[in-house]
Amino acid sequence: MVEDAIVVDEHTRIERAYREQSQKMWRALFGYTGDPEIASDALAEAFARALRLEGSIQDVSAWTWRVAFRLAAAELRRQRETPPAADLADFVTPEPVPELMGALRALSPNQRLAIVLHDYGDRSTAEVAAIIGCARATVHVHLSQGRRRLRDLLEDDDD
Amino acid sequence: MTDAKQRLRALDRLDTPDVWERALSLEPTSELDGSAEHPTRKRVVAIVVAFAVFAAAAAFAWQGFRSSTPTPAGPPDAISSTVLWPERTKAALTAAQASVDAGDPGTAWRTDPEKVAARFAEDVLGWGPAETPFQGGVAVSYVVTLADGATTGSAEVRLDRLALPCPSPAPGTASTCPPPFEDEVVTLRQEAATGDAGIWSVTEVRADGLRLDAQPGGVIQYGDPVTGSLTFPPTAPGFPDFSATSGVHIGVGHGCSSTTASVGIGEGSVSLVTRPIPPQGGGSAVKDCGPTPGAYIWIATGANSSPSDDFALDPLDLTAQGGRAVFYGLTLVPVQIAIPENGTGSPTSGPLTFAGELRCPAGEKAGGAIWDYGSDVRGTIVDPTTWVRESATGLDPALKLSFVKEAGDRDNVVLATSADGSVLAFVDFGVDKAGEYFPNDAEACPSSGIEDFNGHAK
Repeated sequence: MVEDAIVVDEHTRIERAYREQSQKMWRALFGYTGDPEIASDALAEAFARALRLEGSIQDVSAWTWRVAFRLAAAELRRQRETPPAADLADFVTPEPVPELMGALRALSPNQRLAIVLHDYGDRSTAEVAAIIGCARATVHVHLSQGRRRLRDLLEDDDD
Repeated sequence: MTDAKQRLRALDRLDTPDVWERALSLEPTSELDGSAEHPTRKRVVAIVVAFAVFAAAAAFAWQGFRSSTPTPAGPPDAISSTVLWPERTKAALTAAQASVDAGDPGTAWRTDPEKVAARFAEDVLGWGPAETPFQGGVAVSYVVTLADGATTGSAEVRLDRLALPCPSPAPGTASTCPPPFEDEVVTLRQEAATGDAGIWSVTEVRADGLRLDAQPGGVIQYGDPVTGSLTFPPTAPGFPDFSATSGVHIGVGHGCSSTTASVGIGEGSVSLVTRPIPPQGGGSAVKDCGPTPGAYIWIATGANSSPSDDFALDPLDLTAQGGRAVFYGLTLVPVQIAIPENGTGSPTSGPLTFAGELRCPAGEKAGGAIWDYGSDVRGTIVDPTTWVRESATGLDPALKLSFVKEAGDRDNVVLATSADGSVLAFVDFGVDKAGEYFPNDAEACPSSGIEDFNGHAK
C-alpha cells in the first residue's frame, strides 16, 4: 500500500510538471526544430521516460527539458543523414511566427538552442550548458551573438 | 526584458498538442526499463558540464565507414578494426557464433543487443548489474534503452547511469560529491550472422562528454596525434581520485603497442595529446602487428586510487592491470593504424585541423582574433570563399581557402589552410531564406596574417 501511494505521488508529481511545462516546452522544441512532429515526439518521449523512472528524478522539470531537447537534437541529426518527407502544410503558424521561425533558422544550431532554451524557455545558463555540452561562458557567447543576429534579422523583416 | 525575449513571445501564439496520454501509453523500449514497476528512491544528479578544450591535431585518412561483409575481412586471427568487444578477431567471432548456434545456454545473451550492452556496462565500465539491491528494495543503477530503429544487423543502445543522492554543500563549502557518470551510447552490430540467431558485438562506445574525432574503421598514421575533447564535471577538481586518460591500443592484449596520455585539469580546461610510448629495448613496438593492425582509441574518466598509474592502459583488458576500474565515462572507437615499414611512425606533431574550434600553432594564442558581426545579416553573399578572399585584410595569399558544409558543430564554414593542412582561420556563415550567405563569426590565428574582415573590429 505504501509503495502504491509512492507511485501515485510520483505519477502526480510528473503529471503536474507536464501540465506546468509542456506547452512552453513544446513551443521551445518547435522553435528549435521547426518541426511540430519532432517537438511532439520529443516531448512525449521525455515524459514517458520520466514516468518509467518514477522516484528517480529529483527535478522533473530540468530533467525533462534536458531529455526532450537531447532527443530532438538526435532526431535532427538523424534527419540530416536521412531527410524525412516532412509535410507541414496542415500546421498553422499565426503571425508573426513564420518570420520568427525564419530568423531562428538563420542562427547557428547552438545559438538557436541557447536562445530558445534561455530566452524563451527560461532555463538557466547552467542548464543550457548541460544540454548543449559546453561551458556556461560559451552559452553566454551563443546568447550574445544569437540575440544580436535575431534582432537584426527581424528588424530587416520589419523594414 | 531583452529584445529577443519579447520577439520569442510570438511562440506563445502557437496551439500546442496534449501528448500526456501518448506519454502514458508509450511502451518501454527496454525490458530493463520495466524496473519502473519498482519505485526507486534514488535521485538523478543533474549533470552540469563545465568546459571543453582540446589539444593535438590529427591527419586522418578515412576508410569506408563499414564493410558490407558481415564478418571482418582478413585472416581469421587478424584483429578487427571495426569490432571491439567481446571478441576482436574473426576466429573468435566465428567460435562465439558457433556456440550460440549449438544452443549453449550460457551464450544466449549474445543474441540480444540490450543484454550485450548491459554486460559491457557491467564487465568493462565496471558499473555492476543494471539493477542492484538498494536499502531493501530494488534500485536501478543504470537504464538500458534500445534506440528506435534498431533492426537486423545494427543497433544502438543507451546506458543512462543514475547517480546516488548527494547533498548540496553547505554555503561556502566545496561539494564532496563524486562526479556524475556519463551517459553512454553503445553501438552494436551483428558481425558473424544477422537475424534472430546472430550474435551482437560492440563496435563503438561514445560517452556524452568524451569526444574523439575519429570514425570506426578509420586509418590513423602511426604516431599522429588524435583530436578529442573532454568535458569535465565541475565537481571533478575536488574529487582527488577522479582522473582522465586517453590513448591508442594496437592489437590484442599487450602484444603490439599501447600509447597513453594523461589529461590534466587546470582551471576547468583540459589538454589531451596522444603520442607513442617509446619502444622498450630500443626496438620497434609495432613490428609484429602487420602494416595496418586493428586498434582502438579511447578517452576515459574514472576513479583511480593510484593517480600515478595509467588506469586504463587497455580499457578492454582491465584484469591485466591487476585491478578493475570503474569508468565515469568511456569513449572507444575502433580504427586501423598504418605503420610505416621502419615501424617508428611519423613525428608526434601534425597539422592543426578544425573540428569547430580554432587551434593555433604553438606560441600563438588560439583564437586570438575574434570577430563578431553585428550587421550585414542580410544574406548577400553568393560565394563565401570569394567573400573571404576579398574581405580578409592581410590574409596570407599562400593560404588555401575552402568552403565546407559541416565542420564539427559548425555549418557553412570557409577554412583558411596552410600548406601542411593546418587550419589557421575560419569564417562561419549563416544562410538566409533565399539561400544567400552572411557572416556569423570568424577567428584567425596570427600566422594567417589576417588583421580584420572588411573593416569589422574585433
